[in-house]
Amino acid sequence: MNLSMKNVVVAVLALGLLAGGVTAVSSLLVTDGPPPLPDTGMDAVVTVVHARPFVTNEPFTHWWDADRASYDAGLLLVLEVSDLTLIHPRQTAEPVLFVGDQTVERINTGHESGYLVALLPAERNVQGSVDLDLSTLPIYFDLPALPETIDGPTAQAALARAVAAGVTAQPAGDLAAVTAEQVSFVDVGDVHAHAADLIEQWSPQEVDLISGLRAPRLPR
Amino acid sequence: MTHPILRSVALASGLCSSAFAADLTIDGQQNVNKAPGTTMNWSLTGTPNVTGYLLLDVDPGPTQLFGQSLELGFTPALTLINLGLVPGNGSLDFAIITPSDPSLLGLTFYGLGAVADGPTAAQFSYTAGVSVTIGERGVELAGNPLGAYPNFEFVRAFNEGSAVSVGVDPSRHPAVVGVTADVYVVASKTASEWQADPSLVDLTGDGAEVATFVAGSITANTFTVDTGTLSGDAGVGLGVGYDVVVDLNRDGLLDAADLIDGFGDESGLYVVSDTTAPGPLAVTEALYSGGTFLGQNLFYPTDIANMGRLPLVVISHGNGHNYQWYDHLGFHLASYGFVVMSHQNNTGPGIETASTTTLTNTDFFLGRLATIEGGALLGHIEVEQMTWLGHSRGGEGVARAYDRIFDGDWVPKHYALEDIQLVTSMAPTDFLGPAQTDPHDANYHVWVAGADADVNGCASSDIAQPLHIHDRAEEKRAAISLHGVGHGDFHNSSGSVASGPCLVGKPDTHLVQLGYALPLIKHHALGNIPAQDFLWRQWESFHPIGAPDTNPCVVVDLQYRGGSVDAFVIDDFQTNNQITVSSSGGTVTSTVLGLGEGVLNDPDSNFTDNGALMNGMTYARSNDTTRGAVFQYNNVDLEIAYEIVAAGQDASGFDSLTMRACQVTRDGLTNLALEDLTFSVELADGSGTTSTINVGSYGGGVEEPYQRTGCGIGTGWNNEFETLRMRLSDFEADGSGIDLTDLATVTLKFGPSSGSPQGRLGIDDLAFTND
Repeated sequence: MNLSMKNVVVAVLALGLLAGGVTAVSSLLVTDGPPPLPDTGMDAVVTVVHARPFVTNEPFTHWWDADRASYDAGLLLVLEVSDLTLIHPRQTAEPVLFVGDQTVERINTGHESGYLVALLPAERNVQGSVDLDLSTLPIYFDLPALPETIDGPTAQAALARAVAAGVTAQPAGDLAAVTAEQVSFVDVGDVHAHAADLIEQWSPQEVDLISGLRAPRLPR
Repeated sequence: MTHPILRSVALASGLCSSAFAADLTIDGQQNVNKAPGTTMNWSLTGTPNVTGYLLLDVDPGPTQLFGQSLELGFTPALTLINLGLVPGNGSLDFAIITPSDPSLLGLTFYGLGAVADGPTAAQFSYTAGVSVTIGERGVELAGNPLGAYPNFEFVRAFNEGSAVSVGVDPSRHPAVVGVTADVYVVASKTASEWQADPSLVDLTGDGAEVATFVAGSITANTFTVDTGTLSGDAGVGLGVGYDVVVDLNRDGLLDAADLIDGFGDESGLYVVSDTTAPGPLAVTEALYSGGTFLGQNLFYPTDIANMGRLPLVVISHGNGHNYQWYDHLGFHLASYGFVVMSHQNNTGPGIETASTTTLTNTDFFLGRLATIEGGALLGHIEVEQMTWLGHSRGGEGVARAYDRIFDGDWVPKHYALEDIQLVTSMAPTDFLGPAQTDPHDANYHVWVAGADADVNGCASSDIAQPLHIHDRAEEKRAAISLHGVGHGDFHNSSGSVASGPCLVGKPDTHLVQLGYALPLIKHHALGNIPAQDFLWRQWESFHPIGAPDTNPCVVVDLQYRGGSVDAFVIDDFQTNNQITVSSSGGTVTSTVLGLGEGVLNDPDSNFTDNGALMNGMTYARSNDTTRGAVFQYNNVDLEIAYEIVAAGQDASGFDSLTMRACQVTRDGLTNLALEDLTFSVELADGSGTTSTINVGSYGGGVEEPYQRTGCGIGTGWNNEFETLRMRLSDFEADGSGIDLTDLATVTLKFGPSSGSPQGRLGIDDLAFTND
């Protein structure tokens, strides 16, 4: 049933209630809260539309899991999400976004544009480049939780669920077409500033987030 | 050698044999604190028909005299008063009016009673010592007339433009009967200022009011002394102080014969301006970053260079929110002299990370004052007057941050735990529960949005019940619950995130938010006196001038509980978990129906009326311990009587009787009348004298639940406690005769004779308090 059909049904039901003598509330009941979550996020299609490998001079903490490990490399991703209910911001637990068995840092909300800008931490190889092959890693939304509580076994269990649900990685050729050159940043603050550019490009309605990420840096 | 005065008195007294002095009391007590202008009732008991004496001194002694230890100093200041013969009943009663002499403020006088048991002082029989301290507050005079007993409420705060009345209860001040006096409302003075300049200059529009006092009730002696002309313009402050003087001898001076409200440092009344309106200061806004999750949006008075140290408010936003969404609070508070810093908050990973960014941003700000805004704020932040204000996940985060410092898990560099004067959360989550999100001894406050479609308050999710943290706060705590307000209405970006009827919307929500945030923070961070009135006086009685009171959807319910230091808890249901025994150990006798106690936690996942005792209660989750009681009554007069144990029987040192009560949602008895529910509170003393006040006398009552659907079958959202607070002295009004030094029971009386005919109620925190 599409949205307009739903509205018609609701209107007819409301008329029926009033005709039956039920007193209407004094003003319209409105709901603009987060939409209910689907039973599983595994059905959502998450597509990489842009990937930017990066390294940083200063290590940064990945706060989005229980380990809170330190990294100096990663990927800035722009992900197209097919089910916007999964990324609608909410204060209660949200579906946790994984790449393989790794949680990612969601920098914007993306619930209006459908594009999520995310930071995926990674290791460096011996050449100093980002050592991560996205074409081997399924990207998916697992059960609602606080990412800071996700430990290794929990992440492994999530990956197992994704594989069982048939979530597959994106083909290497598709990824290659959207992957930019590796860049180097001073610190993760600069990574976020670059993320602001991506948000402006892909999810431009998030103006306060963009300006906030671009706030002038105080002298160190 | 016998003191010469005593010797002479002894010589003057008649010879009596075997006389003894048993006791000397003031208002039934040994030690009292009396306001200037108030009447003290002294009683000397002893052998009938012998001469009684009162000895007054400024030193408590003891002094070894006549082979005994007497509890008086016997200094050269000793004054001895011959009281005449002790009557046949053995009790010599007399009254003394505490003089309104500024020079006496804070002094303590000591007394001793004696009866002549022989021709010399050595043969007198002496009582134990007593003391009288002249208190800092004068008598209560300023307030509002009420339509029912106690007929008048004495209050601290008046909105600018509202009438100010003076009520003089002849039963408390019998000396005024038949007297015509001039009633002045004057600029507030401290005691020393009164001493230096006792002249009376009335500031009301029509000058001093001429009042003739008559015998009878306080109603017959209530006078409107100002029709709303008094200025409330306190600049960046809140409340212009005034003192009220009843000039009984009409000499235009404050002297010992007069009554004064506001004798000490605290004014008799305060006129407050519109707290929803911007303050007088121009505000500068700045946006900067110290790096990752150190983005900050700053608001401060533009002229800060010429100001002293200002209190700091730190704002921590919620998930999916932004630190630039609190301009309305930033500009408002900064215009009243606050520095407001709203920061980037790492809420996405969870509460621990959010709390970390509250902690790190506070430290970063205080540590980098030399570089922020070119150092404009350096030397202008009063660290010891800090407030943390969080929203949703950030609302839990600020409480978690406090908990981490409290537990020693985090050590701030540039501030300390005791610098945080207030932790306040707007629609907070509760992910971490009592083990980790516990405000402990913090002054804690919560804002609850009744139509919240995110942290929605439904029984189905502990995470989304915003009142848990409030009930964990061990000391001073407060809450404001707003019907029809959505989660997003607290910030200034788009979206109300609301579900329910009669939605208030962002503009009116912001008026309420600004109007209450200012006194909330001023009270806690700066100790502002009139601000406290905003925190507990029911909306129906008192609210910010510019609050949208013509919007019928705006419903505001307040909870306020002071700290435990200055309170006697009669029953908070936390111990002695039986309905027949209060937490203070007294007997509880009840005739109400279905009375039960328990943890304030709806036991299932909905608000459907299913007979559960705690249906609709959302103040606790697993491992929380907050408890209360629930019961009902239906068109029959029923009651709950609490015995006051010995430790609480002398309540004369307390200001108020307080409790919180709520209507139980979706119950048939609640639904019969969706309106404020009222009942009565009766005090009884040891001699059986009673005094009763209907809680609705002050306006309002116990609000009906917000009529929101969902969360099961039926209509009505969570049970909203409201604080009910009555001045103990109100029970003395119009000569009730109640003896507050010897209370025996507090009885809550329900039913047609006492208020609303029926209802199902939750109650908690019945106490005598001073805060």
